[in-house]
Amino acid sequence: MTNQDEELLAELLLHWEELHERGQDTPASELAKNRLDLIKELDRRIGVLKDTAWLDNPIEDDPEADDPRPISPHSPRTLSGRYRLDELIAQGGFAEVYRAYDTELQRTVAVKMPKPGRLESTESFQAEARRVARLKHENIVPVFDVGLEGDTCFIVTEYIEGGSLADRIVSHAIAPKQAVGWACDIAEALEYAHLNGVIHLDIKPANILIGANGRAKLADFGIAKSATKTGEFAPSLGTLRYMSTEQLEGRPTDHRSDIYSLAVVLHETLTGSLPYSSAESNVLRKEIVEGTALPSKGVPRELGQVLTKAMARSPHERHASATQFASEIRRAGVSRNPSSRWPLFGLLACLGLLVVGAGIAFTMAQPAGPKRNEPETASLQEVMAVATTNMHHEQYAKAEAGFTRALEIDTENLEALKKRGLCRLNTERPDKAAMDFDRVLARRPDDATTLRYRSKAYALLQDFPRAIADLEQVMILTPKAAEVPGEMATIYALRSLERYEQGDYQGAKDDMDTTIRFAPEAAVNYSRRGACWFQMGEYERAVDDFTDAVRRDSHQAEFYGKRSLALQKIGRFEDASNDQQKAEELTR
Amino acid sequence: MPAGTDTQLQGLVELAKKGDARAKSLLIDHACDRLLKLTRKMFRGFPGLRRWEQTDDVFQNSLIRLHRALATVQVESVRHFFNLAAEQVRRELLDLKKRHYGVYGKARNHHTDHQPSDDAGGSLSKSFEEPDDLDRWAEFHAAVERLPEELREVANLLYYEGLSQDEASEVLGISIRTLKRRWHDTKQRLHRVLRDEPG
Repeated sequence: MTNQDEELLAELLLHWEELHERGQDTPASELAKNRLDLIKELDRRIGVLKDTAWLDNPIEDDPEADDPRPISPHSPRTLSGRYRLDELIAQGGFAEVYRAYDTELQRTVAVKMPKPGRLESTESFQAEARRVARLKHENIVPVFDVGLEGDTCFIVTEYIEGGSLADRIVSHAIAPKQAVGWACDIAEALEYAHLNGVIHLDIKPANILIGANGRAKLADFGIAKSATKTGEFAPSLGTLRYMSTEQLEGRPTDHRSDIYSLAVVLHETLTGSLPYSSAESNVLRKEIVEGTALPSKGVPRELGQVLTKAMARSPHERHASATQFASEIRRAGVSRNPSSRWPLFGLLACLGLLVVGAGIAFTMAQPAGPKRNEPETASLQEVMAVATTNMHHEQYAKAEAGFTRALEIDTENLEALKKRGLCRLNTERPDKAAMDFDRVLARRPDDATTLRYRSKAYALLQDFPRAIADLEQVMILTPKAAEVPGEMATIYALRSLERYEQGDYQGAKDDMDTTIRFAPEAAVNYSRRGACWFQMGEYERAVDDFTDAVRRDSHQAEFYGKRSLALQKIGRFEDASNDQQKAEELTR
Repeated sequence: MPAGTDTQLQGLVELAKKGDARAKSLLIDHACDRLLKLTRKMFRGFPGLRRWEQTDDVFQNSLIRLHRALATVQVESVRHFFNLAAEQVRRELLDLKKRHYGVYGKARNHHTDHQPSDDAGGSLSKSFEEPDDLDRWAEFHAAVERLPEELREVANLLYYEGLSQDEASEVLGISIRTLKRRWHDTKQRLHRVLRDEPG
């Protein structure tokens, strides 16, 4: 090939790329129609650019799904002429899940397709999927459609935006009350399915999705069961960890196998660790089959007793039903709560206030002339850089250890103190965090960012006067800071909750007044104030507040349900009945 | 440094050249961040191993080494710094692979992920999709290492440092068109080398 030919090919390839970026896949034969001898080589080079497109994808931070992953070349782009596959959002050993668009009903959906060769019979898979599609429960991800495409089949379900419990476990410390709440959601779904003769058999965090309303929903019903019929489906290590003894040994399974797996999930949600966690499948199998799972120390004692029962080797020793399991964990969760910290963590987590470290730019200056340790050990700067990277990636324990090491090198390093405090805040140790922030503020009393962090620590410690005082100081220092009103609203809401639980409804109502002043758009605040009025016997005012809540968010069954109760109290029975009906419709 | 601030990188290099310690520290943070992301990508098919990596001190030591290597160099130019950072990152990636997945690597038996090993095997001679096992990643990084300097620089900036094409062309002082042509050449050559094609 001559130099001129090479030059021409390079130009044609650039031209192809320009067109490709505009959405046109122009064939080589058209681009080189005047040079028939170059078509083959141009076509090959275009193929190379397509093959190597992954080199241009941004490398994102999510450890599980690095970036919007491209559609597998083995998968068609549109299924049944209706479901356009937009993005691969998850994949396991058995199947791939895509975010897709239903072009007929014009809505986003999730599409699950078994990987090639993973399915023995499309008929049995479809039959199973149709059976599951008949399950209608608010905590079960609904199946919209089942179809065939080529020699494989697919399932279309609701697309849940909140991600899976697996993602949450990786990225956040989950408050125990929240963990128990989600487990109860799933137990409700399981009870319903079990009563309808369906066993899930693949309960794991990846199959539990968190909906926009904060409730957990169970996905993938029956899919695993179909898959195991192939006889060649080896469960992944991820699945193995949640499997009951009888599943692993190939003995008959029933609804109690699901209860076992749900208990393992709750254990992991509470502690971030699994009862059996060997990294080698053979060892793991042996551990599960031979052992009796004992909850780790991170599980509160009473809850641990319930989990031990649910994870018993013999199904007969476990809870008789998912409902029984739910009521026991709920009871254990509520009764073991002497400090009442759970609701606070839950509320803060819900309001997105807990994880505050990632991505925050620190503006504090590096201390001049850091003291150095031994020459062969890492320098202060190195230790800080590594710890900061860990913190940005939410590896808080590792980061905290790094900042502690930095403070051993330079005891007065304010940046290390501040960041260590953040790590401690994110690992639910507000007392320790507050001590770090105290030290920073002793030297820099006007550091607004640290004041905000300390305020959160105080809020978690239920020291509301100090939390409020810190935030008031922030408002003076940075009157335009957009986040502060929301944070102030949260703190008053937390105190209101505490007062409500203590029976001080007037105090709780007063705090909700302040909350609403800072966050006038949040429907839930009106509902909470309505509850205070209700408890005080001011039913007309309660109705007004519940109406305000409904006006701001008309999709919450809870608001209608509460208004219905208040309406009954003032004799408006027809309105009450309508609200009750509406609440039931929304719950369905 | 959080992602999405690449446009500031050149400014930081200029500041670092003038001796601004904070700017240099942020540049090093960026390199550490890239190393972490690329490591996660490389270990993506191996959650067990990835978890092991991230909880073990080995990866932390890798970060320390990278940090130290970059901290000791004199920043001469934007181009010089990014190439150096990319090469250090690549070296650490190859080292991680060698230590933990080599014949005598201690993580050899950690390959117990849900992907059966026969799925992850195969050779690059069949296709040149994104690598899905550690051997393929290592071959890829080593192949970049062997590229002619002109092409390796482009891979360094675009892939390892995550610069945009506009930023990379500015760093190299070439037109965007020339950069695109070099990037095409890089891809063609990697494709050829990794598929064992002749010529």
